[in-house]
Order: sequence, then C-alpha cells, then structure tokens
Amino acid sequence: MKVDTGINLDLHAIPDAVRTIEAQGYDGVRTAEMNHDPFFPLLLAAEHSEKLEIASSIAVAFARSPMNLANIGHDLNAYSKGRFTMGLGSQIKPHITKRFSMPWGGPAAQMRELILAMRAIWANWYDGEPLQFVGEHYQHTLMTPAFTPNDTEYGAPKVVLAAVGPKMTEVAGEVADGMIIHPFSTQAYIDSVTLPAIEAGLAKAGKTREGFELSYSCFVVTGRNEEEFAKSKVATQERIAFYGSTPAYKGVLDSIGMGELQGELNAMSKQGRWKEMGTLITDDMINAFGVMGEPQQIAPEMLQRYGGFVDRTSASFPVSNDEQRAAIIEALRVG
Amino acid sequence: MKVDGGVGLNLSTVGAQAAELEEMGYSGVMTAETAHDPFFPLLVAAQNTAKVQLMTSIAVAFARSPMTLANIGHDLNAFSKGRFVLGLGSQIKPHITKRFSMPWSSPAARMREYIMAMRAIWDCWHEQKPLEFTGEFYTHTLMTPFFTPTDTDYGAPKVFLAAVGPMMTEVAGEVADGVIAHAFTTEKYLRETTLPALERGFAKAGKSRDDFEISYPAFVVTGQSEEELREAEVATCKQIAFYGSTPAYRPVLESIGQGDMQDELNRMSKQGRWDEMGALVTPDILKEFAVIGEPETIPGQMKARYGDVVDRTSAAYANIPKDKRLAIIRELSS
Repeated sequence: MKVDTGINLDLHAIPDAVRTIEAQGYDGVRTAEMNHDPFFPLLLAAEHSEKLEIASSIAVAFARSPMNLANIGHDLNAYSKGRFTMGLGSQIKPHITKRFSMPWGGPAAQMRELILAMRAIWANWYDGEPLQFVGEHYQHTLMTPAFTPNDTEYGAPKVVLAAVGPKMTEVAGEVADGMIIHPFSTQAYIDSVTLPAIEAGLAKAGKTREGFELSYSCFVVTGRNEEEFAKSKVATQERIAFYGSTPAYKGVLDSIGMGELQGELNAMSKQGRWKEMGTLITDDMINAFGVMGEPQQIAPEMLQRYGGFVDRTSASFPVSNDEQRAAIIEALRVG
Repeated sequence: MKVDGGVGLNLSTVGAQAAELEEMGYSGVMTAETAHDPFFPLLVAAQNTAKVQLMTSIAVAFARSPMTLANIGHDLNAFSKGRFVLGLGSQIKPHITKRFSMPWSSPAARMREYIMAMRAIWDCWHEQKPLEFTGEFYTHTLMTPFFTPTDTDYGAPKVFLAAVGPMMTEVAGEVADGVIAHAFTTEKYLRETTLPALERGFAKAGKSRDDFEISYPAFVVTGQSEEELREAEVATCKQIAFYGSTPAYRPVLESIGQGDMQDELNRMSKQGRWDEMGALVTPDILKEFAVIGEPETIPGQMKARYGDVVDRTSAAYANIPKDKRLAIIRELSS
C-alpha cells in the first residue's frame, strides 16, 4: 500500500516540507482545495522533490473549464516528469453556483462528461485526434497549433475521482484512472456499495480492476501514550459525528444499521452541540470507520482489512514519535 | 518609462530567464497565455527574483470563474510579496465558447462585471465585507471562513486590462489599474481614441490618471547596420499587415486615413498572400506605428513620442546585442 500525506497550502513552507516528507519515505503528497489554489503548491512540490508523486485531492472540477484543467494537468505532469495525478471532486451545488458562479448539472453525468472532455483534449494534443467534443455540458471543438503544447513526452496525468454515492462511484470506474474513497466510509459500505459500483463502471468501459487505483484514508486512532490516544480518539469521534450529521451520508450509517443516528446528529449540529455529538460515536463505530490500537497494531490491521483492495492511503497517524510513525509507514508500504 | 520583458512558458528555464531580466533592469516579466497555463511560470519566477513585477499579459479572463482567478491572483500576490499584476484580456468569441466551453456575450460589459466580481471577492477576503455580488453575468454570494485566505498582508494584485476598442478601453479606465494597449496602435489612435476612452472611464469611477498605468509595447524597428534595419522593417511591415487584416482593428487604420487598406489586407489574407501583404505598408504608414532608427536613438525617440502618455513598454529589441539592449532599458527607465 502506498502512503501519501497532505501538504498545506502555504507556498513558502512547501519546499522544506516536501524535502522532509520525501526523506520520511512517503510515496506522495496531496493538496486539498480550500482557501488557496490547489495546484501552485504541487508545482513547488514537484520542483523541490525527486520522486514524490503529487496529487490534488481534491480540486473542484466544476469550478473550472475542462480546457483549463487539461492545461493545468498537462503542465504539472510534464514538469514533474509524469508524477502528477489530478484528483477531482464535485463539491456541492451551492458552492459551484454561488461561490464559483459556474453551472451545476446532474453531478455524476456532468463529471463523466468533464473527464471525457479533458481526455478528448489530451487525445488532440498527444495523438493528433481532431477535437470534436460536443456534450450536453461541455463543448470543445476549437484547437489551433498556437494553443497546443508540444512537450508531450509524459502525456496526460492520471485522473482520479472522489466519490461517495453509487452513481459518482460508477463514473469513477468508467472514466477515471482511480477513485478516492471518502474517509467517512465503513467496510460494510465499501463492500456493498463502493466496490460493486466501481465494477459496474469498469465493465461499462471494458476495463478491469488492474491499473485502477483505489485510495482510502480510514480513520486511525492511536498514540504513543494514554493521553495521546485519548486525544486522537476524541478528535476522530468528533469528525465521524460531523460527517454523520450530513444527510447525504446517511447511506453510510445505514450500512452499519445506524441510519437513525443521522437525524439525531443533524439536530444536534443545528444546536451547535459539536463536542457532545462526538460522545455518541461508540468504539464499535470507530472500528467500523477505521482502525484503533497501539501504534504497532495499526499497519497490520490496515493491511489485513484493506490490503486486498486499497492501493494507497493518506491516513494520518497521530503519534508524536517520529520513529513509530515511520515504522507504520514502512510496514504499510512493504505490505 | 518602465520596461517589461516577456518570459517563456517553459517551467524548467523560466526561473533563470526571469532572474536575468531582473538583473538587466527590467521592471516586469510577462507571460502570455498560449499553449500553457500562464500563472505557473510566474510562481517559478517569483522564487527566483526579488524586485520585478510578475505579470500576465495576458491571461484569458472569460476562460475562468472570477472566483478561481481571484484565488490565483491572491496567491501569486501574497507569494511574491505584492509583485503580481493580473493582466487580463477577453480573447474572441470562438475561443471562449468553442475552445474553453465558457459563456460569451457583450465582452466589455462582461469584463467590467468580471473585474468588479473579483474586487468584491477580494474585499470580502481582505476587508471582511460580506460577499453579495449579483450581476448580470456572474453571481458570487457564498463565502465561508474555511475558504477565505488569511495571508492578507499584500492584499489584492493590480489588475490590468488589454483593450483596443473604445468600450473595452473605457472599462479599463473605470475598473482596472492599468490598460495594456495593443502593439497595433498608432500614436494618433493612442491619443485620439485610447486616452479619451480612458478618461471617460476615470471620470465614471472618480479616479485620477495618476493611479493608472498605460502599457504600450510599441513596434521598434532597429538594427546595427542598414541591412539589419531593412530586415527589421520588412518583418515589422508584415506584422502590421497581419494585424491590419483583422476587421476588428479597422479603426486603428482609420486613425491614419487608411481604413480601406483593411479590406485589401483581409482579401489578401484569405488568399494566403502573407508575404505580399507587408508591401502595402508604406514607409509613411510604418512611421505611424513604429519607432525607427539605430539602437542609440530608440530611447530618445520613445520618450519624445510617448513619454507623456505611456508608463510602461515592452519591446523585445531581439536583434541587437545585450549591451545595447541594456543601454536602451536603462535610458528608458531613467
């Protein structure tokens, strides 16, 4: 299992951060799109590392034209010599329409088309295919030599898609090169919803699971001592409770027979009772959403439970001891 | 007069290139949006320089959401400690709709709203104003602390706008911090069309000319021998003929009483007679567009002709040796 870690978006801190991360043995770094451009840090990460894979995880797809994304993807992949993976997510309608002032269609169908549009653009650039992409959401029919990159040695980046529901998951299987499973996923949900939907998508495209990269960052509760462990547990409970309060994720709670909890958490969130919400998350639930134990138990447990289908993780390992953390990373990588 | 220089889009070489331009005394380094992202090279350039301004000239505004551009602008300005200038242009309809799959309509009105939308977003981030931008073309009404940058020391970048026609030029005067005039501009057009349009824009916004920069890349015909000069002249005439064949630029030719030439050039361009087209540009016409002479005479000519109007220029002086280029840059900048 490859192990990635997030980097924050402070551009000044990136060079030192990625050098350290590379020395620690991580396989890759990833950025999330929050209050900064998600691609700038990856350019600096590429410049200041040798081998690290770089990925957005995720960039907001519908905030951008597929042409822009195709260009950004090309440039980052060429500059990093093939180390870039474009991780995309849909965000939710109010953010697309009211924050980005961009169109929102049926998200799964629009995402499918956006990725196909990028692939059509790349096929035009790399293989000289005519650009004639006429979709319902996106149309790309004009390209001239002046706008065609010629540093095509590394071709297109990998495209991976973040998905929770079965429709988006199927789109990932069909048109993406991999999928990012949401941390708020249980083993039962992955088995009953995620994996079958990926298979359905792969089948549509006549692809096999081979070469399709699944990323899953389960929750990890651990610590080098009682105090650290307790802190990690409370933080995890609160995050699970936070996600659990979201109506769209009720299906995940249903997978472990806890669907009713969603209503309760949602009501409490509206009263701002965030701390209290965490106390509703039992040990059994934590174990359903991830692994909990002594530092040396984490990697074996993750490998046993997820090793069969997960290709990479960016789970965080909340142990303050560098050696203990390095041991977890190494054990996961060796598999 | 400040002098800006273009850098390429090659991310592996742009750092050294930008550092060299800074060393030579250029005030700004510029990227154009062609086959690559125009912002990445400026991020690399920022790491390798300390003083030069980092400018897009231009990035295609309508290819992007004002929000992503506001974010890019914020980040580049913060990282470069206030040295970023976001130079925008509209491109033309087919490129926006058929290349970028983005909406196009009334470009001047849309551009005005676009820049105002970015300013509303920056006001929200930098001055904690509520984000309530509801325009005809763009709507930005949602912002949460999670998506708000906190590194606000350097605030918003300057925004320049490329404009040729009077409507877009007026928009530049009203809502931008500078205008990027087209190289295909005669002195007459600059004085009789561009300046008055800018003034109308300033008046609308209650701004003064002092708060605004006019960037004009001027054609410069120079060389160290008769032969080099002649070569530069032929090349420049061809370029002028190429631009002159574009219907949208007819008013520029009209400024010197040569409107009819546009029809002729357009016809010839459709027949692919590019080499012949340059011959239509007579020495008199060339003079209207270009500063012509030996390298030593260029700064004096530029200052005499444009010193009262132009704040920054960006001619390449590509065919003269570095020491003479240095002298031109130094003299123009002083």
